[in-house]
Amino acid sequence: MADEKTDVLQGTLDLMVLKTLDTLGPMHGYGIAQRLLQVSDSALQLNQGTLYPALIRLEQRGWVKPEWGRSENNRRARFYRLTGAGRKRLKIEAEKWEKTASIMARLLQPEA
Amino acid sequence: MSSLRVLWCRLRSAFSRSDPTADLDEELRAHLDLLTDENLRRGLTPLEARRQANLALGGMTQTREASRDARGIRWLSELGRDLRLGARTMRHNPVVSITVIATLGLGIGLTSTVFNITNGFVHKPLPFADANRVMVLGLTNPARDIASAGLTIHDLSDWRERQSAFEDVAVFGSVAVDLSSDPDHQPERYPGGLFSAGVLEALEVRPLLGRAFDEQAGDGLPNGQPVVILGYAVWQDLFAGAPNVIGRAVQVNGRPATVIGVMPEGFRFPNIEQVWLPITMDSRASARGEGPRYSGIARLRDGVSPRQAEASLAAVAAQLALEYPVSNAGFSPTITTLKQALVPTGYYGLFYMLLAAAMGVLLIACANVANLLTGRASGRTHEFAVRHALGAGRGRLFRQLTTEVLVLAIVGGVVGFGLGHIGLQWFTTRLSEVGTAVGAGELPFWVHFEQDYRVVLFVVCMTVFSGVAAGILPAFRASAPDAIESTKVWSRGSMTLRMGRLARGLIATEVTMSCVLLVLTGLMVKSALHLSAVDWGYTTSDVFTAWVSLPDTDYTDAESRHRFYEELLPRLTAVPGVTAAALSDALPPYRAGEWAVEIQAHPYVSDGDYPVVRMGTVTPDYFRTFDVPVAHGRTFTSADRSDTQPVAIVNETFARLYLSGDAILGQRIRTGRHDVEARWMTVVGVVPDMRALPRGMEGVQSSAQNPACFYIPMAQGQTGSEAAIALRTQGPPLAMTTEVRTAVRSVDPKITMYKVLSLEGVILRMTWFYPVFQTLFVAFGVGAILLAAVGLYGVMSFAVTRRTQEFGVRLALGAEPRRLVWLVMRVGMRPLATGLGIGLVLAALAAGSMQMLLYDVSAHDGMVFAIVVLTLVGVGFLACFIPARRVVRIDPMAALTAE
Repeated sequence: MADEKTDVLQGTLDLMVLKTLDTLGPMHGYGIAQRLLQVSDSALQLNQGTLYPALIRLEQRGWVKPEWGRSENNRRARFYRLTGAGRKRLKIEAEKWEKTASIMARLLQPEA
Repeated sequence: MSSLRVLWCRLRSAFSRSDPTADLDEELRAHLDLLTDENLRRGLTPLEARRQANLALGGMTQTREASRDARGIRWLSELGRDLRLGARTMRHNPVVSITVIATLGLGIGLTSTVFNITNGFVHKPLPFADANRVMVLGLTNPARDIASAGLTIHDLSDWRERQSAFEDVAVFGSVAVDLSSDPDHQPERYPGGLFSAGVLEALEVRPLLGRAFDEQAGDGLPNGQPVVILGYAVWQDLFAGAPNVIGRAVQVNGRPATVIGVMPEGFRFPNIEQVWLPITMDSRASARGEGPRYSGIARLRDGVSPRQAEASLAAVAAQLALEYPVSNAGFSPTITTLKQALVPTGYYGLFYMLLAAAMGVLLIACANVANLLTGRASGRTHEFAVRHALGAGRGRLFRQLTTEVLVLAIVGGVVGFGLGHIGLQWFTTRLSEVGTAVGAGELPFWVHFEQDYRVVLFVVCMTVFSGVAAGILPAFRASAPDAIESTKVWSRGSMTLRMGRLARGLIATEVTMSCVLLVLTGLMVKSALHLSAVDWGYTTSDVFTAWVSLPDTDYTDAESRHRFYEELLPRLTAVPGVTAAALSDALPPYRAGEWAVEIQAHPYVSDGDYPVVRMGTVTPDYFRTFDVPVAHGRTFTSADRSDTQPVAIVNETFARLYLSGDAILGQRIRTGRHDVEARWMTVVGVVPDMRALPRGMEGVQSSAQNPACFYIPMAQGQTGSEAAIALRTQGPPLAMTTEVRTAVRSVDPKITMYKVLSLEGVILRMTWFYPVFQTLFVAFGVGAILLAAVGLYGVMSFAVTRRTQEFGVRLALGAEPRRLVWLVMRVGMRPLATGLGIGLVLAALAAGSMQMLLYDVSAHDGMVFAIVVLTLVGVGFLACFIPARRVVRIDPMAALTAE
């Protein structure tokens, strides 16, 4: 299926979403998108078509749990909360990412 | 773990009734609102704030699509959509849909009927625990030309001592049992089983009351008490199910025996038997290697495979052959499962043959549906082109089309299942009608008709098979890229040609299949016709037949038996309504024993030169009873006695083949190959041939046999302990049963009369197969040709319709209508010819394997083949001609301005 093509992006996106929820606590989709925009200095502008399928995926794997709540300006919104399994997953994913990143960093370093 | 969880979530969402998109929509709206709020805060106008938010987020619809893909299983939800679409298409085209459903339903119905029958006869597992661990044992000795032999009681005790592969070894056989509850009652004859101890243990069946045979208790031993085990039905009949029956004395074959057990309801073994006697285990009564032989039965020990068991038995047999070379040399054991031993191997061939024939009809049905749908698909090219343009891939279109056919096939499958049920009802009714007519009580215990899960599974397989078989070609065709391309420019030309080729191939296939089926049907019908028109050489109506047998205990020698028959005959003649009575050693439809004979003054060089003919032992009125006129000379009279000159009557074939010269009467013959002990018999008469049916699979065999026969008077022959009664009656023969029974009893009250049938019943009993299976085959044949004709007609009509414009132009340009008709006809007649050619070759091959089912018909019967060819050509011609004729009526102007 089409999933395979976006695997890399998906993996990183999952990690980003999990980390965001870990940092901010329960948050709605808009909040997550805003946070990522902020952190990336507006470089990472997610559209809904990318973010929401990713959230559904995370939910199906049991890493996040959605519940309806009220946003800061009193709008009904769906808040995503990191589950225990999600926290564990975050740890694994983060380690994996750091490893990959360090390998990549070494590989791309201009030879000294 | 996690992937299982994902699958579960997806499945739940695919089949869940609640709509997750509503939630998502709300969530997305919330997101949009939040972003709009943010934009407002940044000082934008409300309208601009909303617009910017929308732009930033991308389309709602795409998000929804992407989320749905992430949430559910895509192909599954597509399948759901296709199914719904299929159902809708089905409703929109009721004529096409009903045709497809009826066609497939008919095909599946026929196959499932045959499968139901086959299932009942050969597929049902035996009703015993771990029945496939129960083995039937026997012996074979190729060196002595003995293909298969049973075990003697010596073999049994040897094997019991030495083998280790089985829990125990036991033997069983069959015997007729005359049973009555006390000496004053008239006994009834039952089919009985002979069991050694251990048979019931091997089957793991326990008696309902009492116990099984047990050698510890002396059952079957020379000094043991005579005992009997009753079947459930017998217990109900004789003792009305009284629980205190154990220990009761009953009369078995004229002697007292004690009831030691009652079997549970439905238990019959080895086939239909319902009374069981112990096998006499007297090793002194017969020498090693002699005495009666029985089938061995044994249950494999846990962990022993049949192959290991055979090897270990072979070792035992080899050892025995060394120890007892005279009796045991050359014998090796055979081992088969109980099921293989019980179900005659001929049945498998027969039923698979029927199944193959039914599948042939189903294939024709599928080809028809494929044709029909190809036609319809070409009418829907516009729809497909639009779908393709909107982004449906080729695979997606393909799937949609096959699903549509599958929806139709599923409905067809349901219809077929129902038809299969009706078919099975018909068959069992027919079977029991025949069974009652021929007095053949119940079917063997291992025959059991029921629409069980196997039938359901079969119908499901057939449904999927026919859906795919009928749907794959049209779907492939319609979703082909060039087909899609061509439809975009609204052209028709290139399509017509290709579809035509496909349709022609399917028509050729249909004709091939129908040809094969019609030939098989024709051969069956001709067999049945032959059988019903057989000139038996005697009048079959108004003849009462029955058998009596004299127990060895009371009738110890030929003299006493002879006295009984002499006394019986006048009493039978005296029964009111009887015009002639005879006793004989066999009834004419059955083959009597064959004997080698020697004709006086004929030189015979080798043993093979002596004629081998049938011999009948009969009383004087035998020929009058069967309404056979004596052609020359005289019939037997009461003056032909054991102390007068030995005489014989020959039939016409005998006289023609073996008695040369003009003076047939007065020539002398004797039995045996130069047997000086045998007395010369003078031929005193010649009678016409009386036709006998072949022995073996009761009529299911060719009738090739030597019809030569001679008869001797019973007074001068050997008097057996069994004799057939034949009475010519006025009025229905079986109405006399009571009077005849009384006459028999008046001679000896202990004698039972059995196998009471009219002569027609006797014949039906041997030939029931033909009328029953002929109907099945006719159903196949008629179904096949009907379907093929409809298919051909459909393709032709379609071709004419599609080319109306072309023909209009041709007509306008002055083409002769008759030539155009011929042009169209050629399109249909060519695949017809191809199919016929291939079909005849295949039919010749298939018919060869059916030879054993035919009665007096060659598998390559020229007339049957000719009639099939003529029928197919005739029907094919009509199916082509009727639509082709329409060409003449085309109005050129209308055709050109249409579109």
